[in-house]
Amino acid sequence: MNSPGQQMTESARQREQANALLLAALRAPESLPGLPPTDWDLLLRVARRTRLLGRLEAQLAALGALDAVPERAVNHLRSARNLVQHRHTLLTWELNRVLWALEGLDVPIVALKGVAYVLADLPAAPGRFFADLDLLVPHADIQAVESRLLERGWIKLPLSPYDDRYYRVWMHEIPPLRHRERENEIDIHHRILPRTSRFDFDPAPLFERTRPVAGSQARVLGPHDMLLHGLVHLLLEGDPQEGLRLRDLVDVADLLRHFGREPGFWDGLVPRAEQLGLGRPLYYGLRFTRRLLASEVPDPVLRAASRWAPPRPVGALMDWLLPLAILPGHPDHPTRRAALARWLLYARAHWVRMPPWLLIRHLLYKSWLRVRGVPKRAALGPEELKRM
Amino acid sequence: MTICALSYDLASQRLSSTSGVDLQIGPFVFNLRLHCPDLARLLYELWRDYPLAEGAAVRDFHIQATSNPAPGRWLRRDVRFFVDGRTPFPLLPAHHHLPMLEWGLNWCIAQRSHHLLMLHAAVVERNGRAIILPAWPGHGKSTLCAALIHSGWRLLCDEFGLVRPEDGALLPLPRLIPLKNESIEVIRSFAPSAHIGPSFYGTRKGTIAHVRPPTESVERMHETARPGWFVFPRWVAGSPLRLEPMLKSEAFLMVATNAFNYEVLGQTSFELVGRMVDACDCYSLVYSDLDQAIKALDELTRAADD
Amino acid sequence: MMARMPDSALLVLYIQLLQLNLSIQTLVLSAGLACDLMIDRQVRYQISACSLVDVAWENEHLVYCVDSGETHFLNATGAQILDYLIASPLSFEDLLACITSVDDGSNSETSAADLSSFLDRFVELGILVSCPALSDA
Repeated sequence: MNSPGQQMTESARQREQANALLLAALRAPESLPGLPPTDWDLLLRVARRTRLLGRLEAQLAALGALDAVPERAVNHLRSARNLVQHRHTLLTWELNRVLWALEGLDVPIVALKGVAYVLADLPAAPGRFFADLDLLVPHADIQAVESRLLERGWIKLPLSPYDDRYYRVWMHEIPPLRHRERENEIDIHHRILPRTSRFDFDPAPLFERTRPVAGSQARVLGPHDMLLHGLVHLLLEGDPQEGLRLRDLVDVADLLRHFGREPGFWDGLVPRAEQLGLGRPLYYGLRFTRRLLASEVPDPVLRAASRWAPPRPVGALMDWLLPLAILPGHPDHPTRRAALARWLLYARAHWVRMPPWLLIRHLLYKSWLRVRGVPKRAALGPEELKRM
Repeated sequence: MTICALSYDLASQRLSSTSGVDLQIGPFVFNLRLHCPDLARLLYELWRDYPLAEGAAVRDFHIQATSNPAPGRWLRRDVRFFVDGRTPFPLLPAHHHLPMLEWGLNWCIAQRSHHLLMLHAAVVERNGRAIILPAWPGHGKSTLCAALIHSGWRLLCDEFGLVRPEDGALLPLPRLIPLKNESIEVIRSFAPSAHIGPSFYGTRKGTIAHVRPPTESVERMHETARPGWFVFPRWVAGSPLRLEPMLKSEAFLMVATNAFNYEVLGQTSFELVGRMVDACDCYSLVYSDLDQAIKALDELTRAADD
Repeated sequence: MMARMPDSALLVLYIQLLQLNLSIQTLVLSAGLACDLMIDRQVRYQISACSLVDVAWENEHLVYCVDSGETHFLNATGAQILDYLIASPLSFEDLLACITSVDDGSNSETSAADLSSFLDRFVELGILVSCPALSDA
């Protein structure tokens, strides 16, 4: 029998190994064909947990290297690819129908996040899982857009009066819509961040730099804004279980690598972050994509961004918390520390999101719902089984 | 080597060890760890023919089932099911361990096997050709399936019609067949040789007992089958037997709407289901008497074999 | 066999299998949905940019739209309309003429209403696009 101390170090070693496997796969997918089958077993588990299986498949397929992967692992990669492909079809089609419904309205429709990556054919798109359709429209047009969609078959999801008011008064988006015959949620934003957020800024300059895309009437954000929005999404929109999402950091790394080759991208990045007041998120984004995913960032950009570094103790805390929260660890050896780190980063995201009095009110309301037992787990029936 | 080739002590010791046991069930390898002694004893009896997947480096599913004292309740124990360290379902009373485990495996397969088309159907085979029996809950699919596999048909699966998109082959997944309520007695008297496990009372679906897949079905679980017939069964009390041809388009819609992941595979599913429906004769079957139903299916399929 | 549907009416009844959470739309021939429709007879219809795949048995057609991932079930008349439009864009009047010549002795008012709701439905599903007919009307 091992002593408790030995067991502890053994679990810690396994967690390290799981994280290292995943990061190596993300940084250098070309090394995957040489991976021993036992490592595939673990890699599949951690990549699934972080929803990055589809991305591994896309990268291996691009390298033509799927044949060199154990057959049982390929099945899971294919399965993830099919799921992701299905999401891409559903959500780009949803956008197609939204644009059809809005025909004749003279409103710029800007696709955000996953769908934008697909429309603009960016390297972040292949294999990326996304759940909803996120759109940005000018605040002045939001009513026209919403009522046109409601006329043409979309419905509002039922919300409690509290949630509806919360959206309308404080949020940067209107309550989600869904077409009566389809399952996709559409989030229509008029700002990037809630009005209450400490980083809130006027979204008007974003529209000035949007770009058209081939084959669609929708537009996408300009490169700097797309990157900064990716960072906002990563750092300021948490989830209590996941904390921060590794796939959002991967998006940021992909965007940096892709747009870094466009002339003028690096020169304009820091000034744009300054203009929009997103310096701190940019600082963290550059720091952690370099540390975890080995992104290459020119020195002058790093030096310029370093003025947004947090005070030293906060920086040290983030250096410790972020990798702990964002990396999956080993599925069989969860730690309380990682759970705590995830919760702290979630709390931090909320802290930045709204002033303390509103935060307290909001959290009290949400914990009241939890006490009343809002279902969170799957029920056990064949219909539920099929729905998943 | 199969589970029953181990002694019970060794099997239960390995099931509760930190590395667990790797089992091959149809095309999948399950890594199973149990901390639930009653369940280990039952699995030793009902899963006895599954081979150990020794040397399988990549496992499809990592499953753990534990039974613990229920929080805040004297004398009651709960069973909890983990997939990759997470628990997707609510706690259930410990004495529902086997239905929970079986249902949990279904959940895992349905969630993660989108490299295959997964029909919601029972599948049985004879002479290389399979009858696919898609049905909705309560239509008597499991009862009919259990009767067929004790009447000369080989069990492929009771719940999942797994179709390989590359060649349209049906993959066997010989699992336990859960019988509900009156069906348990019906099968006991129809097929006295059937091995039926203990009854679990008061589950969400009433009383459940599991039929063990015949040893031969498990031994031949790597032999795929070709689709031969679609038969849509429905048990109606007191009804005379009606076995009637069905329009292909209707069969298509019923297969597609009743599949686990028709929509996920997109065009692949559309073409695959189209080819299957085209190649198969499609019938609806309304029955109340099992003997009559089996006989009718026997005649139907023998006519085709001649 | 079920009793034959009255073949005078080209009527489109829309059934969605929502409870099964699937994107299958079923269009079947059926009897009178009486409704007053505002029909713009000048509108022209054409096939959208979507790619379609189909299978057919006897008189029933299943069409898969690659862009939306949706499967649609068409009866013979519905499939016929789609065939006409695949060959060339047509105005509402042209289509109505094609349909009623095939389907003799039908009530033209009902047929117009049915055709109109069929076309609206297919525009909503993204399989057809409508555009106002200009000078060629």
